[in-house]
Amino acid sequence: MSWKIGRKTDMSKKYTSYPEGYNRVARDIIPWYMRPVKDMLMRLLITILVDG
Amino acid sequence: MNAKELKAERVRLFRDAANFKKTERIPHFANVVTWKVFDAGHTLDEAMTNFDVMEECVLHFLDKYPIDGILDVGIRNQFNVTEAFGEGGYYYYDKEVIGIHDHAHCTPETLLEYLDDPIKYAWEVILPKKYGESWEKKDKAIWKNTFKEYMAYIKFILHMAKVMDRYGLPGLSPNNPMKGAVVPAVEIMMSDLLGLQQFSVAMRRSPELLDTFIQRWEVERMEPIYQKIRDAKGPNYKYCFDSSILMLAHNMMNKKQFERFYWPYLKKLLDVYAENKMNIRIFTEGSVLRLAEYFKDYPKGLLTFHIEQDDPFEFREALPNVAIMGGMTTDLLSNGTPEECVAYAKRLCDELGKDGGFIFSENKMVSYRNDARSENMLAVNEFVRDYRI
Repeated sequence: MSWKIGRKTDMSKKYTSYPEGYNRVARDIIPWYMRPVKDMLMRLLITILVDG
Repeated sequence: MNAKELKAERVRLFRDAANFKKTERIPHFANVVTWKVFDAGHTLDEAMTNFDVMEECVLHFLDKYPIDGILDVGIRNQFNVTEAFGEGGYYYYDKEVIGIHDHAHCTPETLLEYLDDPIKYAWEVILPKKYGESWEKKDKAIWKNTFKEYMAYIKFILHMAKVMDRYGLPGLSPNNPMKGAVVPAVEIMMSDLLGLQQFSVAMRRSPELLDTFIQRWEVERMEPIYQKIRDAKGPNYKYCFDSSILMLAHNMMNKKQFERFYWPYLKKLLDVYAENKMNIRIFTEGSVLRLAEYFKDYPKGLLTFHIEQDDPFEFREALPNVAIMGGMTTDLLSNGTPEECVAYAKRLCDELGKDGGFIFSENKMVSYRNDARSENMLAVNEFVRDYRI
């Protein structure tokens, strides 16, 4: 195999609309002081869950 | 020489080799991934979910084999995040083996839907399919625990970057998962979106669909990357290369397919790097020699091919304008004697590196226990470090 990070799905494109469940999870798990980078954190987490 | 100076010196060695400038010694880039776990006396299951064990394995490797660059410092294959989320991953591991099942996030019918909004598609299609019934049962506690592991993983990545600094090791290229890698459209279609089987069939049965996907990918994903490359205004000397690209899908294509689905877009990317006089590394998995004609007109310095199955001496003859990374076969590292390994390493350095244009490395990602013997790795590392042409 070729290793995980080398093959990450590219999720870097800006979203057009977040599904409701996604927004709820983001609110639940991301502490207030990380909110400015919420979208980046969520995108990378989703990428890991999709590709891992 | 302190670590900072050593790092700068190593970057210079890599860049000079890529630019076909004769270097005082040949740099050794370790194409080593999980083999270092076995070499440190552990098994994969002990290191894959435990950052302390993985760090111990990495430090053991860096202390034992003072290489000039390394592909992975233990951050590529960690399972804490996905395991916190539950069963259902494509990757699997046990004590001795790590692997990935062929998978497809899309069908030809949904391929363009993915492009419309990848996050939405991941949330509504990929994750429910991947996790089955358990997707709906992912409660707040599971998500919170997954996020906690995810934060620990990011902390580990940052920590290992400091370890690299301490050892004076430069990063391979500015690409990283946070920023998004440069991924040609055909590669993501083959590896993730359609999978090997659907992609092969689609090249024959639905070529127009692939054309549409590739052209949209070009406009939506690649154009911003071209702009970033132009804005960078030249090489970034913090890294060994300005970009690292992986080529695998070409192995599944005949020349006609390569000319239709791959080459026009890859050429555009290479031309932008060339305009900006950058150095790029392309890891050509499988063989690329049969496609040599496409790369023969680029100036020296632009391209360094990390070759896997191609013979390095034939490669040099076919593409004298392309620097070579690799050459040392895992077959020899695994089955040869230290003397045989050193003799071959000497031939590589003498014939390929006498005028620059060569970076010593292993041809495959060294991953499994039997991919190399420790005494052979030690012998070639010591030889390359001390050898002066």
